[in-house]
Amino acid sequence: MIVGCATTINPDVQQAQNLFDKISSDPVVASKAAVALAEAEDSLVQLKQLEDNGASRKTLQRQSYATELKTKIAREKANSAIAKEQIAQAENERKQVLIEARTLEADVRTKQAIEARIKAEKALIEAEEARKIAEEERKKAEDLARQLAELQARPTERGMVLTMGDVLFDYNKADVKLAGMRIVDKLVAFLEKNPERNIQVEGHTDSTGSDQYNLNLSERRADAVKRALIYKGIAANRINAIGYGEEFPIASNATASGQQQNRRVEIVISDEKGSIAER
Amino acid sequence: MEPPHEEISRSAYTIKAAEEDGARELAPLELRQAKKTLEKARLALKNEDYEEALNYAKTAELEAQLAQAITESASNNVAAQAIKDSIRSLKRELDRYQIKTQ
Repeated sequence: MIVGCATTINPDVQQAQNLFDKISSDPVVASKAAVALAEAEDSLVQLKQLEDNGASRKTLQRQSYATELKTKIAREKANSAIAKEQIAQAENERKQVLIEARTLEADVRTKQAIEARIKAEKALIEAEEARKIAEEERKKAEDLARQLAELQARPTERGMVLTMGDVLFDYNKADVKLAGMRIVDKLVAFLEKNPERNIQVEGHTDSTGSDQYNLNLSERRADAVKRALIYKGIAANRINAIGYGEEFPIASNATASGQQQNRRVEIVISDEKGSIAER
Repeated sequence: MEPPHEEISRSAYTIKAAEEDGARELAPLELRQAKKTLEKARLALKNEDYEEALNYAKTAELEAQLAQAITESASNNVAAQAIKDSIRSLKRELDRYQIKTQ
């Protein structure tokens, strides 16, 4: 690319030569502005010829200036070509980023859709489980109601209460008769099916006889029921036996039938936590 | 020697084209120089110094071409910068979105 080897002394020619050497040594200018650089080079060759031919100072100055302008044009065209390449590259990059953005958006939508479906399925399963639990509760309540009906227990403020009448005990004795044992068997079945429930066996008498005698008799009758239950396999700590004597009549002691009603054993069934309200 | 009408109108045309490309903003010094040289060419033509007029016309043409080349490369640089900026802000937004949705 270096044109001419002769050392020049004209400062204008020297300046044009220096500028051309500097710019043409840039490989970017050589490759991106080849035509413009060739035109500058032609101009420089002409300048050298004019110098060699002893052209006037003014002519050399004009030709030097033309060479410099052409060299600068070549440099600007190279700059322009680089900028255009950067634009093309950036356009591509922008397309890539936009594609990435759309892909991400689609991913997020898919993820949200999957999450929503999982949530819906979970809610469905939970609803089904809740339904099953409610169904079980209902069945349990139904079973309990049936069992209590079988026991002929009646609801009271203190819970379900079952009454064993006087006829189930021997007169003035504490032994449970055979008919009474049928109720004991039912009670055993109930306690086995409902292990969370306990019972309280409460003995009562009429007002005939001394208080002490009646208290004693009611205790012995309650104990007899407790013993029978233990004998049938119910744990002793689930049964509380108490004698109340003549303290809590349910009918008038003035008549024989009233007295008979008052002679009884009441069995109070606990709540599901095993506790029974005090009398 | 013929009067260099053709060369003078060619440089006048190139100057006009450079102005239309935006040389007044992007290459004001080069444009001004080309216009001054063209005036000298016209003055020489009027004085019937046709050789001087031709030389000035040719120089004015090259100066106008340089003004054009500078204008083009400057506006290309501005455009390239604008796209790069838009990509940068797009990427920033994308990053924010990614962090938000992770």
